[in-house]
Amino acid sequence: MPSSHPLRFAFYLAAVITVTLIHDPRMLLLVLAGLLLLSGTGRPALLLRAGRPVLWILLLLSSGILVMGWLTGQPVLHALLLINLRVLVLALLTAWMLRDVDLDLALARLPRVRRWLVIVRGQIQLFRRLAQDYRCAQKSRTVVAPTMHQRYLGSAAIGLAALDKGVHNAEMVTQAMRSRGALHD
Amino acid sequence: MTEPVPLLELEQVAVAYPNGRTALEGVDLAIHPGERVVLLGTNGCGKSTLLRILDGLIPPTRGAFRFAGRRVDQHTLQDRGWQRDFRQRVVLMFQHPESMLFNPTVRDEIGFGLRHLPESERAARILHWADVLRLQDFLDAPPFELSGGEKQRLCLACLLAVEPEVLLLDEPTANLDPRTVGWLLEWLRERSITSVVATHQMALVPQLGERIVILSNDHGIVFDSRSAGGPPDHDLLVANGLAYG
Repeated sequence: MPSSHPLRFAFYLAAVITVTLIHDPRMLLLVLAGLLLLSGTGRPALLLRAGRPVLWILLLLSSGILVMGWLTGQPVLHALLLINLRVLVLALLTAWMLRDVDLDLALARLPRVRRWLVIVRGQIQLFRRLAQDYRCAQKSRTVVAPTMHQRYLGSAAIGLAALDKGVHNAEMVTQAMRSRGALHD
Repeated sequence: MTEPVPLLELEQVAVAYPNGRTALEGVDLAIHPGERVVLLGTNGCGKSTLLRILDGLIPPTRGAFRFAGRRVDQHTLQDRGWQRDFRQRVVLMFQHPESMLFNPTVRDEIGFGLRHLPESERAARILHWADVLRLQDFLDAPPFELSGGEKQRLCLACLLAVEPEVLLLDEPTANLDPRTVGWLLEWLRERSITSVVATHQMALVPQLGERIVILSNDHGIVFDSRSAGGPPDHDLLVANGLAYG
């Protein structure tokens, strides 16, 4: 793997583009093996970190492909392998990038991009806090355990509130950036 | 004798949001250099919207906003030269400090508005304002890791470091500790800087400014101590949700 952070980040971007251009499952399997080989120590943890967030999506997609294959009578093995391997490789690449690339150093020569990165990080932290607050408030206000229907309604309300807050935050951040002269350099 | 040109002037300004909700209606306001205006009103009456118009961020739906006698419209707002000059002269502190912080470190954040200065002067100003607002220990920390009060102090440092002519502050004391509130009040009092401060903290009003403007729930100006010749009476404050009684 490249030693400097800007090079590592460039490698990540190039690898993501390349992976989307590979349509042979055997090649993707080779790439996956190569990535695991190069990812150094902490390989199982990295694989777990990459696999966990995409596991349900892959199961859902695979089920859909299997059902389609069963309904149409078409062979699905190629599609099944392609989608699973591609998503896994992309997830592994991203997990590696998050583990081994210091984005502040990688983007040191691109102050504008770095600013956007700071905003994204700030917003992630804000939403994390929001989710935590919601969880705590829910716990604090729950006298009787909610039904599945109530849980569903509650989750939908939280989702909408988060979306609304996201749109509002984006507008505020843009206005603040304009106010401080960041948009007319 | 002719009346001097106001620094900030709103003439019959109305703002309506795309959902049809009115934020401001028929607002006339002229602010002269050195005036210290305190903007009062209940939640949702349009204080923040008014400050955003004065900062050239939202164009009025109707009416006109003029800065130093020049009308500020879509055309002006696209003029980069004008923008640069305006953004150096007028600054706005947002109600929520998170919105304003977008640089990797506290040092970069304070130095953001000073990029036009020589490096030595820039560094000196950063250190000065970090020292004044007790941020010297966080200079290399990411701003979003600071506490609410520290973020608000950082926002103040960013804006004051620019040495603006007009300071627009939206609830500036909301997260600040008493020590920083005291410092801010003293700082504002000692300078002849033009300021418009929106607040709910009635106890601080006399120290925040001499001129009091009240926005009503109908989104218009219901009281201006400049034309009224004195402070608002208790009944008016009660009627506009600014006092209980």
